[in-house]
Amino acid sequence: MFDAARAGAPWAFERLYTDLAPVVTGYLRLQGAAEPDDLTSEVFLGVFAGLPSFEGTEPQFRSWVFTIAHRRLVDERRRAVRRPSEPTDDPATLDGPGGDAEAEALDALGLRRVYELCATLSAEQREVVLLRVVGDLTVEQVARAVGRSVGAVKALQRRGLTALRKKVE
Amino acid sequence: MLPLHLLDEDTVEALLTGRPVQPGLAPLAGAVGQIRAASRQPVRPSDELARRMASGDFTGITPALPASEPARRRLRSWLAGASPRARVVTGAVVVFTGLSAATAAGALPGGAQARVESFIETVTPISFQRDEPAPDLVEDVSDTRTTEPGTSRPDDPGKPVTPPGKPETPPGKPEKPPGKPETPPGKPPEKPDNPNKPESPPGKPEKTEKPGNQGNGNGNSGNGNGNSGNSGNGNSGNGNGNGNGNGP
Repeated sequence: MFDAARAGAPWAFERLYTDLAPVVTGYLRLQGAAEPDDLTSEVFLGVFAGLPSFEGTEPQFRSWVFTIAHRRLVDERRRAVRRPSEPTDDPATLDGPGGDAEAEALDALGLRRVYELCATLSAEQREVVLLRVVGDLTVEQVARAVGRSVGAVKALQRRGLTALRKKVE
Repeated sequence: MLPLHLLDEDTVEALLTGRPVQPGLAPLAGAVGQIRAASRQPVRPSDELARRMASGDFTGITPALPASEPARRRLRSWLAGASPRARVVTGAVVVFTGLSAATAAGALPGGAQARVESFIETVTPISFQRDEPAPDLVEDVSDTRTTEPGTSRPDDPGKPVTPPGKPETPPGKPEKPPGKPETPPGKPPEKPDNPNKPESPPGKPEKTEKPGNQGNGNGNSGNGNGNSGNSGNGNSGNGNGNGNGNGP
């Protein structure tokens, strides 16, 4: 499939996007990206443009895509550093999305509960836990993606799960 | 409910990867499952992405870098787009910073260490401390002056150890050794005799001088230059004045 995508086959791009775009968008959304859908499209534009230089297996490709998504998210946060608030860090924003229709939609998707769960995590814990759970990356892949040591990632994920446990029990 | 410390590594891995866990951890496993399930909603690509996927043409898009060595690649791509002047300046800054750090750490071989130290002291306000104790060296200089005041002075003045603008003495140290005159008694008469004597180049540092001796070297240098200039101007003016007065 990678060879077909490198050759410019539309079906290969469609397949790669369909497989990974939902989880990438979910990761960006739960991380508080302002426009997760648009950011996902930016991520895949860069990924598909850089595909000729990629060599590796499918799990490595997945790890690469999430690494790019994480970098784009960090870039977006830097650009938005003067914004008043970030969605997932602000409980008021989490509790009151913009309007009844949107709130109902979030409730229907179960997102409200998930946002509340994620809001109990620190930024570092959320980053690691989401990459492990949503991105389905290994500890080593997460460590490379976020630029931390394996030990630091293990500590963060353990503390994150402990915080979640306190929240749900 | 299990105690919190029972979240060992295997349990953490099981929770994060969706494997079955102990019944006591079911609420936590359910919460992790909710997070996972919330990220499975299909998403439509943007118009541009959809168009490019259909055509397979991604020219003009900045490609994402492979995850292996992003920093190096990023630097390489930045250098590729930079102007030649920016590359040269960047390279010079990197080399100079590295040399300064290596010199400050004393990591260079002996000869190179001394040369780079003197170069850095010449072009920057940085001064390096030598290991030798300063008091002994001050004593040596004092001995030289007292024993051979006439012969030693002409060699000393033109060799400043520190560049202009550098603090002459470290804070807390006296500028001159106590009891030592700023200008040696035999110096002024010697200067008019050698008005055209070339001075030592100001930028030439003397390697054998030590930090404790630098203040003395600078003071001598300044005195030597000032005396030479004043003596030459004063003599010239006096000669003209005498000639005019005697004529009529």
